[in-house]
Amino acid sequence: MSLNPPQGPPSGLAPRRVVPLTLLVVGIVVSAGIAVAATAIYIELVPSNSHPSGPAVTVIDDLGRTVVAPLNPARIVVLAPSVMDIVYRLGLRDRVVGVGCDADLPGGLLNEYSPNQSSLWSITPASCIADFPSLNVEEVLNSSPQLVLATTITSAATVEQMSVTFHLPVVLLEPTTLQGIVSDVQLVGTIFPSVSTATNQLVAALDRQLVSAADFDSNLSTNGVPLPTVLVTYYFDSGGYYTYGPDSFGESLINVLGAVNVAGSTPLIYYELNGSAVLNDSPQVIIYGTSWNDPWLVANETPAQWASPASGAPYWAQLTGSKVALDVTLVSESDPTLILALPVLLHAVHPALYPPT
Amino acid sequence: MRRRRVRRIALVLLGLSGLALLFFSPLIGPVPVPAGVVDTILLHEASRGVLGGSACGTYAASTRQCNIWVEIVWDARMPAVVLALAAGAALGLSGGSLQGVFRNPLADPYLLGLSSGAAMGAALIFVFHVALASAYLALPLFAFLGGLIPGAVVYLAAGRARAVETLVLTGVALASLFSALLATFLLVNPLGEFQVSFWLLGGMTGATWGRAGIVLGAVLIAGGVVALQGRQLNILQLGPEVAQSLGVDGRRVARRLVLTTTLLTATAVAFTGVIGFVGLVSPHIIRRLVGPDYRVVLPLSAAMGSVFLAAAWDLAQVVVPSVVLPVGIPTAFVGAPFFVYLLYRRRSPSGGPSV
Repeated sequence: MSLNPPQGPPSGLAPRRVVPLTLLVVGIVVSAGIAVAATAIYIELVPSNSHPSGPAVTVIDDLGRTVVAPLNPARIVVLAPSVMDIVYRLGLRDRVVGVGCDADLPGGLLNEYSPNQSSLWSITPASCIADFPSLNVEEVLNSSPQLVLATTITSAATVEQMSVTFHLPVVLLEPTTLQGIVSDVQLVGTIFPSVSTATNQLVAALDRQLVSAADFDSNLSTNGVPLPTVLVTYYFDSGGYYTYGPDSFGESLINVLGAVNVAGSTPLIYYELNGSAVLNDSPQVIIYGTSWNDPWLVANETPAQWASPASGAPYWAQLTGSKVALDVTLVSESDPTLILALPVLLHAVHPALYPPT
Repeated sequence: MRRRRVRRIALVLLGLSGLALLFFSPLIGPVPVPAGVVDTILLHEASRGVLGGSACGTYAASTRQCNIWVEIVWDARMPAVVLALAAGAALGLSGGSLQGVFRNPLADPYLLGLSSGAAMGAALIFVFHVALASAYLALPLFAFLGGLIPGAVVYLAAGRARAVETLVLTGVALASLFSALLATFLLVNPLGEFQVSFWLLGGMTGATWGRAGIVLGAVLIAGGVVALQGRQLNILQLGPEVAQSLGVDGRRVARRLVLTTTLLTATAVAFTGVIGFVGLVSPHIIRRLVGPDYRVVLPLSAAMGSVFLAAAWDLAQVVVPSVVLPVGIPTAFVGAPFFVYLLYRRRSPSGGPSV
């Protein structure tokens, strides 16, 4: 029989005192956690609203968000080329204090703008706000903008953070049809009434193009002209073509051009066709975009680099439809330039029926 | 005695490191802000203007420039730092708990399929544009709910499973299932794949004081619950039969900890995306330093995870100028080799199961 007293807990305290003390500490910690979490949830769900000082206008953007924007803001950040097109055409380029672009490639190449756009819009690395792989919110704040114009290519959550946390009015422009582009021009014009003349002129010019295209399509229908099948693609890799599936913006463009989208019956909105599928579809017209600024894409942009079947000639060589190369921005960006270039696109799709520009 | 001293040193070092990161991390960012101004802003804003004089101190800057710096330092950088510290603690604590429950040193917070479930929830926003106009609130909510689903399945399975290996395999199966579902979603809209991919790599962009507070609150609540399980976890390491004979119901402990870690991890992932290696590596480092006593391992794993993730976040901001990398990249680049080193280093008697 041992005469040694039983070993106590390492802390030296008797068990009866340790347990309540532990529970007390845990209780305090848990209570603090609940208080912190509850306060934080309240802050998140009920953010303080801060409207612009001075004259303001309430608009509904393309995602249905209600935005209170200052009238005629002097400092704006533009995060997408399609939006920059609108801003430039309305004569607002000098108000742009930052543009979204990934200037992280060697030599400061700009991956989001074609050479023409970079030159026309004076896009330089110095004006860039990094938006790859995620938007650099600090650089947006450092630009001290009064308004941010963006699309959903920029992460929607990040865009909303700017709106909610930093009280920056953010308008998202994401047209799903060509008419939607016209609506976006009018929306921007609502925020900038000082350029109402330019807005009206641009809207009128866009409407004329759309009406002209609609008339041409109507004539085709009236005369029973069969609509050509069209494949529109602006990027390809060794896997195949990327094209526009059903209910996409690209398909609405093809419809306006009086054509049938070969990818229109695919189940996906944005579809990568394989070579054999394209051969099977045998599109009568193939429109492919060129002139990416990225050196790798430039080196690989010719569809002839497209993968070959296991035997026989490369897919590209086997396609018998007419192949039309156009600036990539004309087939990938939903902006006024696209609508104004409808005659070029119509001639590409209907070379015999629509006169060249 | 030596081990107790090591524990104290580890606790002090981790505490000091956390404080250091709290004060020095706001100096790091793509926009240069003078160091003296950063310190003044922190003092001024933390004391609600009582300390620090004017927000930018004696630094000669226009009011507009000063307001920009205050926004950047206090509203953009500090919440990200606090979120990194809190999320790191959440992942470290979860990893330590699960390694104890499953008696498996390879267990991490995502073992139960949480990451795949959360990614699937996030994909609904990016791919299908569900609630896109409210993405600020919808994204973390969908990610949280998506992460809960596999955790809930494993929680229910924990009530029936005879062995922990069954739970592990259940989690692995669920992870595969949700990954397949995610891949299917991405086929619908490959453009969404871009955003989902970067969300999967994790980051602190989008951090706000509210979000950091939610994760911090979750850590405190879960930490309190888990702290009461330390003794039971120690007994569980002796095996289920021995634990049963000592009055510890392994199944009940497993359910409690699976539930707690699921909620905690899902909360962290909802706001930071999926960040790997923090929950896996932190408990290993701590166990090698202080031994296998889970009453000590769990809180120190939380502290280690906290410091690890905050440091990785700083690294993610400076590696490529003007580009903020997903924080999962530095955690993997640092964590993976270090983990291999830990595994193949000469083992102490307190090390985990042999390969």
